Amino acid sequence: MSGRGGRTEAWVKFATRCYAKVLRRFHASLYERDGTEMLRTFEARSRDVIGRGGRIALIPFLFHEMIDAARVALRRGSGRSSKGGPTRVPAATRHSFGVLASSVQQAGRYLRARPGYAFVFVLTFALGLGVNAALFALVSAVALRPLPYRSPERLIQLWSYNEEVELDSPSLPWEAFEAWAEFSDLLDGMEGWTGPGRRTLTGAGAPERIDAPGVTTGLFEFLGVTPRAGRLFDSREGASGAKVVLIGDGLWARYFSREPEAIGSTLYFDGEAYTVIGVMPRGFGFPYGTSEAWFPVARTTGALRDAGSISTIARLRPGVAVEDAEDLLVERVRAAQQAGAAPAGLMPMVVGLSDFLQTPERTQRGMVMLFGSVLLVLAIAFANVLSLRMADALRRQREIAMRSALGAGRQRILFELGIEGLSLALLGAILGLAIAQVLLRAIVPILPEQLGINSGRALALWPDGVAYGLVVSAVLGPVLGILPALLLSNRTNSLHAGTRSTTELRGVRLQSGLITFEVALSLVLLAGAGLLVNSFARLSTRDPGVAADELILAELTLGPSFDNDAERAIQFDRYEERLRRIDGVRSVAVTTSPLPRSLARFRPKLESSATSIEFDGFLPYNEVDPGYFETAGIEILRGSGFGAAHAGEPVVVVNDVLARRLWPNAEAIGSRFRARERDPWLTVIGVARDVAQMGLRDEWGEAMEYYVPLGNDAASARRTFLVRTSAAPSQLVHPIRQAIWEVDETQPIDRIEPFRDALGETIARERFFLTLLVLFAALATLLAAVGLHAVLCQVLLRRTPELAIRMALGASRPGVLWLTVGGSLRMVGAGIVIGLMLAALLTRFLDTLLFGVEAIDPLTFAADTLLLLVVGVLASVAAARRAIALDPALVMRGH
Amino acid sequence: MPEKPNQPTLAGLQPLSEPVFHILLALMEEPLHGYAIMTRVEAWTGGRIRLRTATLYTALARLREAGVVEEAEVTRAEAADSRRGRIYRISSAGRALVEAERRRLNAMVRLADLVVGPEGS
Repeated sequence: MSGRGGRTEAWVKFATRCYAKVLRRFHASLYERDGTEMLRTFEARSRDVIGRGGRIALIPFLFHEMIDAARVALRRGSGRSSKGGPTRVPAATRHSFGVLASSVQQAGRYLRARPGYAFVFVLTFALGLGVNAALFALVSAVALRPLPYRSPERLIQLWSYNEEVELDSPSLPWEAFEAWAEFSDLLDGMEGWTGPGRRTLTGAGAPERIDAPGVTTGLFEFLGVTPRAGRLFDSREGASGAKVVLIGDGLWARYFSREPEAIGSTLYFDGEAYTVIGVMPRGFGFPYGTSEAWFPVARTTGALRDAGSISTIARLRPGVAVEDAEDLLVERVRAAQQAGAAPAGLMPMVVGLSDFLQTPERTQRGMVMLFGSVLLVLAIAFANVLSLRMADALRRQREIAMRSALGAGRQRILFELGIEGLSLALLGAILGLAIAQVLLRAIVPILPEQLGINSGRALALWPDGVAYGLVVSAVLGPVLGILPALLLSNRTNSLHAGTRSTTELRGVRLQSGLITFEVALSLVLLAGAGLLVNSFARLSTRDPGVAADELILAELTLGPSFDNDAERAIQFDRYEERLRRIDGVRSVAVTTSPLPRSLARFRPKLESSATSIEFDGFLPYNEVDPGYFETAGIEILRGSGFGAAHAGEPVVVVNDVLARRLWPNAEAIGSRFRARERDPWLTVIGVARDVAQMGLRDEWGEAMEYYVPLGNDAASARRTFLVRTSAAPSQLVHPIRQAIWEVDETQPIDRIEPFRDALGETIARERFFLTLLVLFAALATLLAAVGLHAVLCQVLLRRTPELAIRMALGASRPGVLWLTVGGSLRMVGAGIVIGLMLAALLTRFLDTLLFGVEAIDPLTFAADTLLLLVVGVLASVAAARRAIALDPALVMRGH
Repeated sequence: MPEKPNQPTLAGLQPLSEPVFHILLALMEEPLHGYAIMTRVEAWTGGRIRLRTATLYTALARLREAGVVEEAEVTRAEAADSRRGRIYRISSAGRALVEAERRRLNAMVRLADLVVGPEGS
C-alpha cells in the first residue's frame, strides 16, 4: 500500500514538474508572483484526478492543463521571452495556435466517440512500430554507435612483428612498450593492458574465476571512461604495491548489491586482499567485454618488467592518418634501434581499433536482414492502418462534405485529419515503445556473445530507439491522417448522392490492393524465416564427429599456489581420480583445450616428407591423453590412438583431411610431419575421423586438424576434463562440481556443461537471428490476416443486399460462401505471386547465413505459400460466415 | 479593439467570459482560495466547466488588477498552513460587476423569450 502511495506521489511530483516548466515558459511574470500557489493547487487537483480515475487519468489531465497554460498565454499576450521582457504574440501565431488547439480537441472528440476503431489502429501501429524501435536500438548498439571512448577514430592498437622468427603478436614485450611510448610526436598517448588475467575471487560462496586484467594506471582516463562510483587509479598505484582494484558493475551487483559501501571494502583475489576504490559503468568490460575487475600496472620499468608483455592501445596525434601511421612508426623505430633506444628485431604493426572490435560480416548480414524484416512488418502494419483509415474516411464522407459545404476550407479539413492521424500515431508510439521495451528485455538473455554488445556498448531503448520511434510516428501519423482523404477525394461535391458508391468502390479497390501488398510482404518474411529454420535444423542435427550425447565438459585452472609442473600434474591426477569414482561416470579423459573451441596454430606451414602446405589461417590442434579418443567417441580410421607409453614422444594423430592433403598418394601412418619449421618432426601413428573442432558452424570435412599426446610439461595450468556418463549428463553436472570441491574447496570451475550445450553455444548467433525472424514473420502473417479479415467484412457488408438476393433466388449457402471466399483468394493469390517473385530476389541476400540450403529452396517456398493460403482461407471464411448468417428476407426488407 | 493586457479595466472585462463569471459567482458566497474556487465551479456545473490552473490564476490576476477581487487578510496561523494558500475576496466593484452582468443576461433572455416564445412553450 505504501509502495502504491509512494508511486502515486512520484507521478504527482513528475506532473507538477512538467507543469511548472510550461508555466515558467509561458507565464513568467505570473509564475513569479503566484507560481508556488498555482503549483500547490495543481498538485491538489492532480491528487483529486488520481483519486477519481486512477494514475492513468493524470496523463490527459496534465495534457489539458499544459494546453490551457499555453493557450491562455497566447490569447492574453502575456507570454514573455526568455530574456524576461514582455513579448507580443503575433496575431497569426495566435490564430494558428487556436486552429491547432481546436483541431486537437476535434480529434480527441472523434476518437473518444469511436474507441474500438482507435484501439485497433493504435494497437496495430504500435506492434509495427514496437518491433522497429527495438530492432533499431539493437542495430544501433551493435553497429551504429561508435565505441564509447574519447576520439575513437584515432585509436589504434600496436602489434609487434618479430623479424627473427617472422611472427606477429598482438602484444608488445615490455621493453618495446616502454620505448615506443616515447614517440609523442606521432602518438597522443599510449596505454596498455596485460593478459586476459583470469583470477580467482573467493570470500562469498563458491570460488569464482573472473577476467581481471592489469591496466596501466592512465588507461581509463585515456579512453575517457569515468567510474560510476569511487575513483580511478592514480599514477603511483601499482608501483607502491598498494593492493587496490576497480570493479565492474556485475561484481558490484553480485557482491555488494550495488551499495555505495563497496568503495573501501575488501575483496580476495587469488587469496590476497584488495581494496575496492571504484566501480566502472554498467556494460564496461574492457578489453574484451568480459572483464569484471582491473588491477593497476604502474608506468615504471619495474612494474612493466613484471607484466612481461603488454597489449597496447594508442591514440594518433590529429593529422596523422591511420594508413600512414605504420610507415611513420617503423621509420622512427629503426632510428631508435640504431641509437640503441629500442629493442632490436621488433617492428610495430598498426591495427585500427575499430577493426579489432569490428562486427563480423555474418553478424552484419544478420542485422541488416532483421532490420529489413521489421521494416516489412512496419509496412504491413502501415497498410493495415491505412486501410482502416480508408474505411473510416468512407464512413465520414458525408460529415466532411457537410462541413465543407458550411464553409470549412479544404486545408483546414486536411489539417484536422492530419492532426487526428498524428494523435493516433503518437498514442501508437507510446504503446509501441512499451512493446519495444518488453521485446528488448526478452532479447537480452538470448543475445549471442558474437554480437559484441557487451564490449562497453549497452543495449537500451533510450535514446536511439525512442527517437527513432517518435520520428517514424511523427512522419507516418499525418500521412495516415491525410492520405485516405486525398486518395478518395474526387473533387466533386460528395453531397451529391450519386458519387457515393463510386468513391466507395474506389476505396474498396485500394484496400484490396493493400491486402495484396501485405500478403506479398508476409510471404517474403515467411520465405526468409523458412530458409533459416531449415538451415538451423540442419546445423543443429549435424553429426559433430564426437559422440556428443552423455558427455560433459569441465574446465579447471589451478591457482598460483601450484607453482611447478609436477605439482600441477599431481593435482590434476587427483581430480581425474575423484571424477572416475562418481556414480554414473563411465570414463574420463583430459585435454588442454576444450572442444569445441580448440587451440590453433596461426599461419602454419605444414611439412611432410612428401610435400608442404602453407596457409593463412588457423590450424586447430589438441593435446590429449590416451583415453581421449574413446571417451569422446572419435573414431580412429587407421593406425591407433595414443597409449600410455606415448606421453612425451614425438608422435601425432592427424585427421582424415590432413592425411589426404599431405599424403595424397601415400600412406600417412609412419610418415613424418610438422606444423612449423621450428617444431620437431612428429611421426604419424593414427588417422582420426574429422570432428567439429571449432563448433557446428565450422566448415569441417574440409578443415585439417591434429592431436599430440598430453605431456607433463604443459605450460598451462588449465585442463579440460571430458566425462562420459551413463545417465543424462545434466544430472551429473552437480555431482561433478561437488567432487571437485571435495578435492579442493577453493578450486574455481571455469566452465562445466553438457557437451551438447557447448555445441549449441557455437550456433547461438544463428539461433538468435532465427528466433527473431520467425517472430517477425509470424507477426507479419497475423497482421496480414487481420487486415484481410477486416477488409472482407467491409466488402461483404456492402454486398449484403446482393448476397441476400442471390440466396433468395435459390443459391445455396455453401455456394455463396465459396463465391465470396473465391473473391478474397484472388487478392491472396495475387499477393502470393508477387511475394514469390520478391522473395526470389531478396533471399539471395541470405546466402551467407544459410547452411545446407539454397537461397531459393522450392520446398520451403511451397510450404510458405501453403501456409499463407490456409491463413487466407481461414480469414475469408470467418468473414464470409458472418455475412451469410443473415436472413435474406430481413436484409432485403431493410434495404 | 486594442487590448491593454497590463492595465485591465472594469469595462475591458465586460461582457464577462464564462470562467470569470463563475469565479466571481463562487466568491459572492464567501472568500475562497484558488483550489476551492475550482472545485466549487466544477461541482455546481456538474463537471461541465473545469477551470484549468492557468486559466484560473490568469483571470484572478486580471481581476485583482482591475480591483474586482482582492486578497483577504490571512491570519498568522492560516499563513503557516501551507495547504491553504491565498484567500480571494470579491470587492464592492466586483459585486456591482456581477450585478451588471446579471442584468445584461436577463435582458438577453427576455429578448429571446419575446422573439421565439418562452422556453418550453
